[in-house]
This record gives sequence, C-alpha cells and structure tokens, in this order.
Amino acid sequence: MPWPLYLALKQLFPTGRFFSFYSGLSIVGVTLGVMVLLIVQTVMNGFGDKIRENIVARDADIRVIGNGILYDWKPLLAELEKRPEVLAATPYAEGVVMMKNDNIPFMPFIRGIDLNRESNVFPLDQFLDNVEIEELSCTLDDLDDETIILGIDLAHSLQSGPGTTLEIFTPLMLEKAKRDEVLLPREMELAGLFQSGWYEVDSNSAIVTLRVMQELYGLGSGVHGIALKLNADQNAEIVARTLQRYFDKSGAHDVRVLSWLKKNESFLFFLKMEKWVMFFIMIFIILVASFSIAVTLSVSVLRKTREIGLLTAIGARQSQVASTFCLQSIAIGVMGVALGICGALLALHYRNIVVESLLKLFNAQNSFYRLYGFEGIPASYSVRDFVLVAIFTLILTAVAGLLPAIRAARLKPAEALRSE
Amino acid sequence: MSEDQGRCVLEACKVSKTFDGPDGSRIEVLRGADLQVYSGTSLSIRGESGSGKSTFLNVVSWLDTPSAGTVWWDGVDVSKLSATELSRRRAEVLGFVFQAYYLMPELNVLENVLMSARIKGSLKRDSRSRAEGLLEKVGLKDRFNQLPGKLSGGERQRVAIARALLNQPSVLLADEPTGNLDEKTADIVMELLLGLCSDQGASLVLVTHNPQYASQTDHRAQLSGGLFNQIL
Ligand SMILES: Nc1ncnc2c1ncn2[C@@H]1O[C@H](COP(=O)(O)OP(=O)(O)OP(=O)(O)O)[C@@H](O)[C@H]1O
Ligand SMILES: [Mg+2]
Repeated sequence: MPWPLYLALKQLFPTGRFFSFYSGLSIVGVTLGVMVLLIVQTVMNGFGDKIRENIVARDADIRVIGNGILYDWKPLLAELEKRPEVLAATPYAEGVVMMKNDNIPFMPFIRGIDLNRESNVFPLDQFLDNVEIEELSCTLDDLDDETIILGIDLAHSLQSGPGTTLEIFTPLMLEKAKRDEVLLPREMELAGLFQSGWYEVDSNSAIVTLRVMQELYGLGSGVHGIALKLNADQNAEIVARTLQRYFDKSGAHDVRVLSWLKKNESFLFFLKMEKWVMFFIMIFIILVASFSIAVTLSVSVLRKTREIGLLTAIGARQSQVASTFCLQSIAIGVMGVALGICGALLALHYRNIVVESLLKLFNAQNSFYRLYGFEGIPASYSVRDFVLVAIFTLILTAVAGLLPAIRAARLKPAEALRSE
Repeated sequence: MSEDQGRCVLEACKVSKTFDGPDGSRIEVLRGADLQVYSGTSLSIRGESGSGKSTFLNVVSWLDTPSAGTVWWDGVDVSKLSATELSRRRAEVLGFVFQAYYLMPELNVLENVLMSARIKGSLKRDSRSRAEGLLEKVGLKDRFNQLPGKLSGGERQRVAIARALLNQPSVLLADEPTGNLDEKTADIVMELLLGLCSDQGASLVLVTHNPQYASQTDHRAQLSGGLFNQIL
C-alpha cells in the first residue's frame, strides 16, 4: 500500500480507536446527503411509475382518432379488431357539454360508449364497482338512452342524488339557434356513479350511451374515434407508430393514432421535471457535506502542520503529503456513499412502517392516502440513479479534498517544523 | 570506528541564509558557514539562542534553501537534485530528531517507527523486526502497541530516535533532543543516542546547550555571528 493511502486511512481510523471523531462527522454528513437524495429519487420514481400504471389502467393503450367525424367507422373497427396486436376495440364519442341540476351548472367532459365493447377496453366495471354508496351504485346494464352515469365527485358538486334529473345543453343548440331553430335541453336521469380514484376524472366526467352522444353532438352515425386495448406483450408506442404508418399508406381512413404515452406526454414530462428539480435541490445537501469535509480537513492540515513538516524531513514529497489529504477526502466520500446507499436501502425497505408510525403520531393516516390515491409509499429502484448519485458524490468529495491538499503542499517544511 | 572514517558524509560550504524581517529589513543568520561531518563521527554544535543553529540544520538538510553556498550529501551537490531525487536521497542519507518529537498521534509506537521505512519505500518483512529491535534497544520493549499520547516525553523521544535510525541514515541530525526533558531523562536519552549512532556507524550532528553532552562528541563547533568559529 502506498504510504499516503496508509496514512490517510490511519487518520480516519486511528490505531486503537474505531474512527476519528471529526472524520466520523464528515462521513455522517455525506451519508445523510446520499441517503436523502436516493430516498427522494427512489420515491419519486415510485410515484412516477405508479402514476403511469394508473394512467395505463384507466386509459386505453391507443386511440385511433378521426380527423373530423368518423362516419365509416364500422369497417375500421372490424379491421382493427382483426389485427393480432389488438385485444379489444371500442368506438367512442366525447366532448364538453353543459349540465344543470336546478341552478347548479357544470361543464363536464362527457363520453358516449358502446355498451357491449367499452368494458373490454376500459376498466369501467371496476370503476362502477368502486362506488360504495348503495343506492347510487349501478352496472352498465342500468345505462340506457334516458340515463347518465356521473363521476362521483361531479355528482357531489352537482348535488345530485338518486332520481335526480339533469338538463344537458350541447354546442349543437347554438348551431340550431343561429338558424332560428330551438332545441330543448335534454333531460337525463341519474343511473349511478363511477369512481376511478382519480380526482381529475371523477370530478369532471360523465358517461352516456354512444347513441345519446351522437344525438347531443349531431354526429349522425359517426364517432370521434376508436380506443384500443393491446395484448399484454405489446408496446403501445411501437404499435401506434406501426398503425399510423399503415393508415397513412392505405389512405382509406383519415386518422391519427395516439398511444397513452403521447396522449399524457405533458403530464409525464412534468413528473420527470419534478424529479430532476428535486435532484438539484437535494444536491445541495451533498455540496454542504463536501464543504464540511473541506473545512474538517483544512483544520486537520493546520493541526498537523508540524507532523507534515516531519514527513518531509523523513523523505516525503510535497505531492505525497498533499495526496494524503486528498485520499482522506475520497475515503470519506467512498464510505459516505457506501453507508448512504445502505441507509437508503434500509429506509426504503421499511418506508411504510416509518411513514405509518409518523402518520399515526400525527393522526393523519386517512387524509394522506386519500390525497395520493394509493396504498403506501411507492418506490422504484433505479440502478442508474444510484450510480449517478454515487459518482456525483465521489467527484464532489474529491474536489473538496483539493483545498486542504493544496494547503498541505504549500507548507514549507522548515516553517512547518518551527510552527507552534 | 569504521574504516571509511575519512569520508565526508555531510558538508556545508560557505552557506549563508538571510531572512526577510517584518519591516522589510534583512536578517542575516548564516554568513558563509563551513562544516564537514565525517562518516561515523559525532559533532556537537553550540551557540546562543537565536544564533542560527536550527536554521543551519534546516539548510544543510535542504528543508530550507540557503541564500548562498553549497551543501553536499555523500559527495552529491544537493542543489543539483530534482525534487523527487531530493526526497529519496534525504530518506537515505538523513535522520532527524527534534526537540518536539513529532510523532503521529494516530499511529502506535511501532507504526510510528515504521513510517520512515514506508516513506523511504523500503518497508519489507525485516523492517518490522528491525524496528522492534531498535525499540527494544531504546527500552520500549513492551510498548509497541501504545499510542504516543500515552507516553512520557523521554519515551516519545526514544521512539523518535528509533524512527530516525530505522533507515540506517549516514547522518543523524538532532536539534536539542533533550530540550524538553528533565536532567535524568535527558542523560538516558543522550546515552542512547550516542550509543546507537556509534553502533550503527551513523554520524551524529547534535545541537545542544549542555556543555556536558557537547563534551561527549568527537568534534565540537561553536556557531556565532553566522559562522562556525571553533571546530575541535
Ligand atoms: N522564517 C524565518 N523568518 C524570519 N526570521 C527567521 C526565520 N527563521 C529563523 N529566523 C530568525 O533566525 C534566527 C535564528 O533562528 P534559529 O531558530 O536558527 O535559532 P537557534 O540557534 O536555533 O535558537 P534556539 O537555540 O533558541 O533554538 C532567529 O533570530 C530567528 O528569529
Ligand atoms: Mg533552535
């Protein structure tokens, strides 16, 4: 072993003691920084994955959307259903309407569905099942051309309950009004509620039959698009590209093909940005820890000035003396990273127990989980993140060691020896 | 006494050293001092406090560069050596004992002694037994694993002597090695120092205020006015 490394390790772990107090503090600093960074990144990844999973669960894998109204959608549907990648397909029409219960208006998103096909593509049955209010739970069989199903939070906002009749106004009325025709609002009775667990969906959507939506929007026999569920082993992104190319080439249907990823791109991008912003904030913890290393070691150079002089007297080169301190800093970094990774893995492994007891302490269990809509704290381990954090920390701590190293190398041996 | 008695292991020729004073003045500490140290002999340097004894040792070991003059180690002009060569030759030729002992507090006694072999790059299996042998000779047989913080001043200086002699230097430079010790301990340390140096055939340059110790060396020099004016 080269002696600077030997001496560096001895200064960190002096003979007869477990570790030196000051170096120990520095190691703890790095450990905490690495730990926090890794925990946050892993949980953020977990949230991201969970949210993607949820999007996948509530959304179709792919939507084939007409540029304009799709009138000859039946052959298109048949064609899509025949493709090997496709598990199921369902036509839909959707748009915004105005809805009124007494004097409470709302402008929700309304979706016309094919009663026979919808459940093969969307987990709507599950959403209907989720509703725990006895008199407002229903099945798709309860939906007909006179009734409507509301998202649970939307129903709440409209103050609607069993037997409520809603008035629905559509953009078509404006068209008619221009021609001095009067179209009366359509009255629909509440059939029941659905609950997807996603507030943005549950507070802003309603479901009717495809025929009702066609009438409300004046589509005739047309639809807006066809939603696809793919076989489990298919990659939505790739299939979407293949389909797009296929339709562009055949020219039979003027459609756009969107995967769920594309459709939710901005939201997913936001999630990713959030993760990186967190990363950059947390990096400062490691930066501060590196500073503390620089300070600790600089003080140690000061304390050891005379010993450094002696090292030179017995044949040490300035560069070797300097590397003693640089190596100490690197060793602190290596140990901090190692302990930080272990600590993070441990904390992540027991994350639910930890959070659970914290919540119990503050009596906030229910609200916490309702807010996020899933059970427990998600975590998704990314080797890439771990490697990134480790490399980053090692570089920072090595740089922190340069300051004391340069100070040590600058010492003139004769002056070092005579210093008090 | 060894056969190459006549060989000059350390020579300073017309060495001057000037420091810049605080108010821009110049302090001439050495003004062309000459000194030869022959193989296997001992030499004591005396002089008033502030006469430049420590400065001379620093210059002659090239821990500080002289303002003028030449220094030879074993016949090599030190100013011609590269930084790496200088460190290597210093580890080979010179050993140091200071008034303050400069032991590494985080190393135990044995590890402190072995440090000089590590730095010289000559740490081998027999280094350890040599170090243990030296520690036994200075009377620290049972203290190998002790940390310096738990030793008395005399014991620390004995460790420092063992460390200085481990690499079998041609010359051992000792700057008031007994300055921090009481009389009785000082006598013991001085006896060890003189005895071990002559055992190992190392020359000794001893800076001391004590005329009694000075009288025990083969040669005696007096530093005053920046010159050695009496070499016996
Ligand atoms: N780096 C320096 N800068 C300025 N003056 C210095 C420096 N080093 C030494 N001197 C001066 O040189 C003179 C000689 O100092 P030195 O330490 O060599 O004396 P000494 O003979 O060893 O004294 P003592 O017996 O007290 O140890 C002193 O006056 C001191 O103030
Ligand atoms: Mg002195």
